[in-house]
Amino acid sequence: MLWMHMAIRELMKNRGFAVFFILNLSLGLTGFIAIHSFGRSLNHHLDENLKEILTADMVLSSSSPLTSEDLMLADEVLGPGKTQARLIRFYTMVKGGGNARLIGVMAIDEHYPLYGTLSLENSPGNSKKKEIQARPGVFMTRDTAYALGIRNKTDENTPVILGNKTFRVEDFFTVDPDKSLTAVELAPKIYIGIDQLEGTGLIQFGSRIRYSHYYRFSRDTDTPVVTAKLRQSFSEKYQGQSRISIYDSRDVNQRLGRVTGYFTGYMGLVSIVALFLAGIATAYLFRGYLNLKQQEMAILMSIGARPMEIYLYISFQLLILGTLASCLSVVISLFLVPAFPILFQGLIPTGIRLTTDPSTIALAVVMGMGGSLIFCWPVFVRIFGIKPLMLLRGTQIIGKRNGKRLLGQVASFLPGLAAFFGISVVVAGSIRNGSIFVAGFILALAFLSGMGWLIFSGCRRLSHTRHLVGRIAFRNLFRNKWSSLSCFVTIAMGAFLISIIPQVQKGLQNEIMRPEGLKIPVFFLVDIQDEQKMPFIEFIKHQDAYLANISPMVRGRILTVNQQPFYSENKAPGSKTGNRKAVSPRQVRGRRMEFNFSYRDHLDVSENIFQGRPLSSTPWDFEATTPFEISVEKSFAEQYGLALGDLIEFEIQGIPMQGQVKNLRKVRWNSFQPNFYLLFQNGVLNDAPKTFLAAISHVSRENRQDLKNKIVTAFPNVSVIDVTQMAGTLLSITDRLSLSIRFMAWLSIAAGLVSIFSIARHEAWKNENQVNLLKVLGADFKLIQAITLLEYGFIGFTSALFAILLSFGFSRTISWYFFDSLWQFDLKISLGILFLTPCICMGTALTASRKIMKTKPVKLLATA
Amino acid sequence: MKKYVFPFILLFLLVTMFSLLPGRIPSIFAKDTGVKVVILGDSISAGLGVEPEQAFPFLVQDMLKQKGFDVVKIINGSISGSTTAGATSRLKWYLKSKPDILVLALGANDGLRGLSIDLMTQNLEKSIILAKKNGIKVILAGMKIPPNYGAEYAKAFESSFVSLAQKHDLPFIEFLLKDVAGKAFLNQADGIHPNPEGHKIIATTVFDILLEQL
Repeated sequence: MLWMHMAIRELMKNRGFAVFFILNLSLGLTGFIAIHSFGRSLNHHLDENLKEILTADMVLSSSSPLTSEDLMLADEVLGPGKTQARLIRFYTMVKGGGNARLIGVMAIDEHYPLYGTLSLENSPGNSKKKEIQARPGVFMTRDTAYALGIRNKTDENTPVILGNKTFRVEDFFTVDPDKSLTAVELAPKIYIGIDQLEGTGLIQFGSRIRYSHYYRFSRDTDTPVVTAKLRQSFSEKYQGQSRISIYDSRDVNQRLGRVTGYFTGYMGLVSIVALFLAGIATAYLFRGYLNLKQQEMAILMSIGARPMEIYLYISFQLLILGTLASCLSVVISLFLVPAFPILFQGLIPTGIRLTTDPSTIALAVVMGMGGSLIFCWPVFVRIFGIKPLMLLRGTQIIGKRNGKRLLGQVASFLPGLAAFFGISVVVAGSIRNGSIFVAGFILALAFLSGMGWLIFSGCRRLSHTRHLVGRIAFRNLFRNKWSSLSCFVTIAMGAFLISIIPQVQKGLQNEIMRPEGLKIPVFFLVDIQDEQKMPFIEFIKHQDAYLANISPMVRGRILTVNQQPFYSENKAPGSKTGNRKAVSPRQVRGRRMEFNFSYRDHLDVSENIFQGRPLSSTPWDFEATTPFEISVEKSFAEQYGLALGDLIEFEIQGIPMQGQVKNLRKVRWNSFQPNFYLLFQNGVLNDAPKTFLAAISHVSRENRQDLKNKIVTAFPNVSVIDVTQMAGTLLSITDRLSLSIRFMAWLSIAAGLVSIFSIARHEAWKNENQVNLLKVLGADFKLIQAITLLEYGFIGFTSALFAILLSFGFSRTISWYFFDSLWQFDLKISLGILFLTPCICMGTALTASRKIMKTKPVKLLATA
Repeated sequence: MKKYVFPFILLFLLVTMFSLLPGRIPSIFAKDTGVKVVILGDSISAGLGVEPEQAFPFLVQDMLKQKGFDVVKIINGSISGSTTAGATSRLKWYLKSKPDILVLALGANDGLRGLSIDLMTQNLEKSIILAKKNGIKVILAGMKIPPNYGAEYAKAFESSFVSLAQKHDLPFIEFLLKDVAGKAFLNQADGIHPNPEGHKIIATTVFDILLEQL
């Protein structure tokens, strides 16, 4: 074990370099651990949030009671180790305190909810949940009680009548576990014990009831897989006609599902960028170390050391350095990540428990320890394939090419590539995504290498200048073309990776974040009649509330698209391009639905046209032979294959009409304003029988119930839907996501710049011999400083410039493929990267050259 | 060419003789114009979740054609989710098409939303009066509310249709979803909207009473 002893002695001898190397490497690895851990903590937090909204991991729901066979099948598929809860919900007219109101009854067992809490005013524990199973008691909110006429302490014993049974108010709930983000609630809720339904006479033939079974699984259960398996089992049992809906937290809300999908994708992207950045820095540092050891290896080879011994000797040094760097980065991360909420107060969402993720730590350690063996293997193969004399000369290594050696060299890259691919797949979360990112990475690497080669070849021409500084700097870059190229490619890849993130981030954030000046609605009003519109506007003027938007709504069907039936075929009509795609039975059912149409003078602030021109403001003439103009919402157009110029035939209240798609519109649905998939030209629907939708905001909590009562009294047909909880829950999640997306972008840029710094520092350190030579030859500090600044400034600037240009194309492709084309150019950050990259390169090089200038040349020559 | 002349003449004579049979063509057709029937309803009549050709208004039209009532045109003016609040304004819209018969099939959503029964009755009554003023025959389709809404509300809801029919002496469908409501195999997965089989039964219910009015 002589090589082990020698390796340790060598490291101890060069302690300064070893520490420098460890610090450099640990910076990249810390960045990776921090970003990935932050992303995973957020994802976990979001998962928990969605489960709390659903109150379970999975729900089985049906309009008829689940049979014992159904439940046995579910038991069999879901396996042991789960907990269950039951809920029966329905609407009924409840009488209390002289008032009768429509109420949503939630009949629960004592296990409900499996996630989240039902917080009661007077009994914090779960004891009351057991009590309402044993006796006819109800939980309701103070607002509901008020609406039922139970307004003060003395009213609290007022009987509440449900069907044939009398109940009493047991307690008032302050937090409702049922967030119901899928559908609007027509009425407030009350909770009763499931066992107390008996005797109410409300559940009988013809009753409209929803029976739900909730399941909570053990932590290691893969819920999406189990859900898919159970759906398949029920589909087989009922031959595709199952009446049981099975859903998990991904189905909590369609829009939220899309947003969280974006976030997961973005997290994967940022993680993979962090991985690539750490990988680039690691590979660069390891290979750089090996290149520095070239002469030492040549001497060892000349005195008869076997390649395996040399390999073990050098690799052991790298393994020690890598291990120490990994350990250091783990220790730093263990303190750094939990400290994020303090360090970045206000920049990251509150209430998130940030922890370092064990799998991320394991990945970083594997990369730090194993990276030396994998990334350096091609260099070893190259070095062992040539004569020691050439290594001693330190000249460019160009060995004789033969097929076997070339094959060996190519094969030496395979372990590294395989490991890189494997880790990418793990980090990206799927083989497909991992493959796409690796392929993109290789393409970018090839492009930047090609550009770098052209640039440094061109440096020869640039060196033909009268200016001494330029002549020396560009000549150096040309003469050390391969070294400059390696530095250029590494820095450019770093800049490229960090430039991708802001472009994707900006588009995503713009989609997710709440529109500026958004007035969060408190009530959504449905079914305002045409003749009630003006009186309603007048009525709201006299209330302490703000009528945000009042929009006409007309319902109708789509009959044909480009003369092809819209709903009755197995094939979608598709756009004019003739692109007909197969549709599922569920989609066919969706096409049979009636759609809501509207019209408006101006687009709402939450929507904008992204293709086509605005609709004509000239009212459409009913006698006209030309079709009227239509604006279609983007996701609707995608779902039904609609494109600009498509002719659509509608049936509106029994009248067939034809329109043409004039523009495609993007709607920010998180605006919570009445928005529509299809907007028609003015004049088409103006005389059609219609109702109006409206949103009301700026109502204080104390005035809400009062205002609701006033509206119901003045406009009894109007349904007032309280969306406070729904809007609050959705906006709170999207706000947190938006903040996190921005923070992750900053974090990855910071980590990238740190990686660039560590690479530039290493490169500057490598350059000390050249600086020293100039010093010995009599160059003054100013000249050396100018040459260093020009060399590193040039490398930094050109690499950042090409990296940013390339990142535009890549980020657009990524946005198109993964994020529904949500892309937006971020000029500020791009300019920032373009400015900071050369600055970092020049700054680090300048610091290194200053240090060298202060050292005696003899000392430097002796250590060389 | 000559060989086609005889069968053509024979066919013409047969059709003419058939059409002259007493009682076969109702008196209302003698006006030389078609009969327009407007169905003013909600999601049940609109055929939510089924194709328009599977919804009962289309089936009734088909059944009428089979019985030889080619000149009867059914206009389906139904809107999913609609309540009685918009009944009058919607009827005004259809007055432009000069209907002869109105099938008033609204109210289900008022009940499901727990709206005031008095208000629902008033809305329906306004529509009935407006229709009658315009010389339109009104067929009122009664509705029942699911038992989970409570016996008292359900009873009041159901009887409001009966009272209206009696008060205005209207042809009355006691329950539009007769033999369909509550039967899983005749309804869609939501348990409330009829499937194509359910619509066939509703079509028979509506057809019988409509035929009496033609």
